[in-house]
Amino acid sequence: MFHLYLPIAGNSVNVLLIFGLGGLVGILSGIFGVGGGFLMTPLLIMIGIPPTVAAASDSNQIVGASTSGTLAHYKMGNVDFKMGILLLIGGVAGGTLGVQVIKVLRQMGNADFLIKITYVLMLGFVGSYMFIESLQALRKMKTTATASKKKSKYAQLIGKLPWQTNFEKSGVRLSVLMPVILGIFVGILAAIMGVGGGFIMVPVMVYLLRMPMHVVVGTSLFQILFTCIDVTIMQSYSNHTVDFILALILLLGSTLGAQFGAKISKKLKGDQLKILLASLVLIVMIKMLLDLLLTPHIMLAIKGGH
Amino acid sequence: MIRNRIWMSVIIMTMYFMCLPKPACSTVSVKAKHEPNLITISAFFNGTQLKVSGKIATENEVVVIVKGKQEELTLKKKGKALGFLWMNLGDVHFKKVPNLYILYSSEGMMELAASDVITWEQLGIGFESLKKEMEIEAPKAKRDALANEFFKLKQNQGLYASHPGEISFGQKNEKNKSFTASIWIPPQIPTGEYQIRVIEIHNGQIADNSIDQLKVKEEGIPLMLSSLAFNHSVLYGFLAVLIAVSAGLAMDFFFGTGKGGAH
Repeated sequence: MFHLYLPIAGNSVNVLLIFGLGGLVGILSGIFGVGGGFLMTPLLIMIGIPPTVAAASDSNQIVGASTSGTLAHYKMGNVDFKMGILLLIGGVAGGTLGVQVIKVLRQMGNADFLIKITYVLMLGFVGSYMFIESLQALRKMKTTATASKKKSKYAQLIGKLPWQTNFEKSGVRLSVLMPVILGIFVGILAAIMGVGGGFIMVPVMVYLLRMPMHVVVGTSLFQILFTCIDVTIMQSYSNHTVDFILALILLLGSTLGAQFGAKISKKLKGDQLKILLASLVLIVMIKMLLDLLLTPHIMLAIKGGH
Repeated sequence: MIRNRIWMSVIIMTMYFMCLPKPACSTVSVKAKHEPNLITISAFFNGTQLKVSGKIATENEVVVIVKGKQEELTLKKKGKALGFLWMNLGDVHFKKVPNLYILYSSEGMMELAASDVITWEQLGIGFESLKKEMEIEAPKAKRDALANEFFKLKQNQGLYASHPGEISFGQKNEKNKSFTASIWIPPQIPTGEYQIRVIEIHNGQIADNSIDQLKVKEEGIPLMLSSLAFNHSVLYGFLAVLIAVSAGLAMDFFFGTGKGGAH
């Protein structure tokens, strides 16, 4: 009764199920400032959407969710446009570079192996670091002297970079080069792993750009919005894999979810947010690790997806 | 002289055809029809039932196969990296594999198969017989296992299915009996033409068979969207973005805080 046919995916889906999935991922997106691609794409594949269509249509729905989320965070004063634009410039350059890197890796024949290993290691490292750090902060334990020494050295180093400028919204003074270079780094990783990069960008903003957590969430969503606009148009043009009906149902759920997410985000403390995101990242990492270790049910797979 | 040779050739040809083995005994030839003849995929399409019905000789069994056009597929092969990590390792090319293969049979076929009178492979039907048709670019020793994995993947996708014993018989008399197969056509069915083959089995041999065509096409919104996506892909991409942004703005308008900029 509640089924709709998806012409590009070539399958029919239960509208309520897709709406619910969209809503759930939208809430997470609004709370943490991540696109949610690393969660949504595998879920869509599980319900019978071809991997390439799942990934591309998800980018399309993230455009809607991040528009909604960015606006919600903007009204709360949580978007640093200056930082966001600089990260975006770096991200586009890094993404383009990353696509070339992946081409070379594919020619060498071990791309899939490197992608999976990078994925698990990045998720494991980022998740564990955030988890431990925010747990310590929540327990109000002061970081050790060595750690603060390291941080001050890092601060000295970035203080020496040219073109220092104030980022009022984030309350930090940094070189213009910092967000651009880090944007390139995230862009390369995101292109290699085939994801939007939100879950790498958030820790980078928190720990390397020293931005307050709430501004990080809003700014990350702002940056993801533009990345996913680019991906949607490119995927539609080159691969014809964007299923608009699928994206539309997902985004009705996710844009609504993003609004609630943004409100929940405001009620939580920065460290609570970090520990929740860290837990989510670690759960995804464990799931991926199990996929690598357990014998698959079918020894063949369709191309595409993450 | 030439005229004699022509006559001789005609006689030899006629005798040759007369000596060809006849199909196994069947008192009536299979008569089948299906409904609908055309499946249209509209916005609310969620798979459909295809009804194949007809008459066969009273003592015989029946098999119905819906088969799609042959295609080529490249799939990822899973293997162990570093001896313990399961991941996609290389491609496998499959050629001459149907894009859809659905088999229904009457209950008696299961008994025949169980009693070793026939094997599906000998009759040229079922997944095992597809192995003979398909070409797999892999070492010979690995082909059988790869074919089995291929069938598993296709069954998982809902595009291959086997329903033994699911054709029911209705009215019967001394000569013939009626059969009905309610075939589930999955929503994943690609558009195109399909072959419906009804096979009548007598004592483990093919007594007769009939072949008919089924057409599947899109209409309405699905047709409009697929032609836009494939023929005007840039426009499609921009529209997809525009609608997503509009939905985001609308949600913010209806459900957002609406307090305006905070800076």
